[in-house]
Amino acid sequence: MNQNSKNVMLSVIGVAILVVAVIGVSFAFFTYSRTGESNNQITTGTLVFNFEDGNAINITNHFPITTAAGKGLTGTNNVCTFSITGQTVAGKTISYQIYAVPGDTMTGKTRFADGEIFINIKNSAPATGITFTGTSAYTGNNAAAITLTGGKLLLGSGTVTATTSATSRFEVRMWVDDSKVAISDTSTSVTGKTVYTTTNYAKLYYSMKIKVEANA
Amino acid sequence: MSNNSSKQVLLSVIGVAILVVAVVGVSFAFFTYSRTGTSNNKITTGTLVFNFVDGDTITLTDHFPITTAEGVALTGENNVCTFQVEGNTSGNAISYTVYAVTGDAVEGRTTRLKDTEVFVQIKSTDVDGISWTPTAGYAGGKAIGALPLTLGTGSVTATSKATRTFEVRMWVDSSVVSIGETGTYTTTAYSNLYYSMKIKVEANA
Repeated sequence: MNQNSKNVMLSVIGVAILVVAVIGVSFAFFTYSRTGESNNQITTGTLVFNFEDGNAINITNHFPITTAAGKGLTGTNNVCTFSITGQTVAGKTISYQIYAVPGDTMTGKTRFADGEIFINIKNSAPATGITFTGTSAYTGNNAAAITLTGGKLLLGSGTVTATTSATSRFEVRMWVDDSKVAISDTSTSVTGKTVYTTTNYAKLYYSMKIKVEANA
Repeated sequence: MSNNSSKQVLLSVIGVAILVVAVVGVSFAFFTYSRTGTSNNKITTGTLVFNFVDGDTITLTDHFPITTAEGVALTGENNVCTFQVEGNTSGNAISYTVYAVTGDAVEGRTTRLKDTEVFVQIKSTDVDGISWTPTAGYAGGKAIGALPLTLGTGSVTATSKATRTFEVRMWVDSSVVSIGETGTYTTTAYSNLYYSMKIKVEANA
């Protein structure tokens, strides 16, 4: 029994040695490993787009004015200014849109209807490599009542193709247009206009912010 | 023992010895034979050739995220990495594996894109004697995930030199990377990124 066990054990060891030897020979037979010299690389591109607020409109004690007067507003607090700075790489165009969106509410005041407020946008200092096409009713020599669609009014759009940093400046004016609003304590109705009493008119406000969206 | 008897014994021994020497001497002279067989029993070593040859290199600059469809369609210089596997064997098949491994850092760039943000695709046209099976998903483009990455395996059974050409594409995929204030990277952060990868081939037989 003891001798049989020894024989079996020796047989197993013998087979194991044979297997290891064969496998060892197989692995040693041929191996190859090489990493190529080519360093395949991706470097990302520089894409810059920034919208910078400037002056804010802060018109107080405002009364309805003509469209011509509104477009002619000047000076601090009367004109909203902002700029767009952009840079991209050749072949990659950045598209952008400029919107007017409702601003902050004022406690204790009643908001004008959007249609009573006129707005105008101008690309006051265009830059090479940044285009702008204003919505026709609101740009250049045109101005019109604010009409929100989906909570915003598209004032214009453009593209950035400048490969070095460029800045384009804009001016926005807004006012209560006298073609839409009348103030009267005696007349309650004027064709095509909203009529406010002096008391009610004194409680009104309007607010708007500029929103810029871009994509590439 | 008498002196005479001793002499007789000595003479007998000498006589037998002379007889033996004479007989043996006659035998050697009588028959000799020598012949070299015609069977040339020999060993010659087998032919086993395997080589990996670099080709074109990917150098995508000013790269922005693109779709997988756009990535697999990249063409032209700097957009496609090419390499070749060549080999032949007179005996055992040569098994080989192609890997993507981490490449060199890119000067001036400090942040490496994540392996999950870069897609890779490997393609090869069939050649007799060199088989190829890409890892699932990478023939059509898929996120690298982690390096080293096994791109596929194959074997060389060609008995005369055969060459198989491979194409590798890689890109930042728009399904996982977006740029913007609410995106994966801001425009500033994105402009400082890089990714690099090399091809490594291992073989054994």
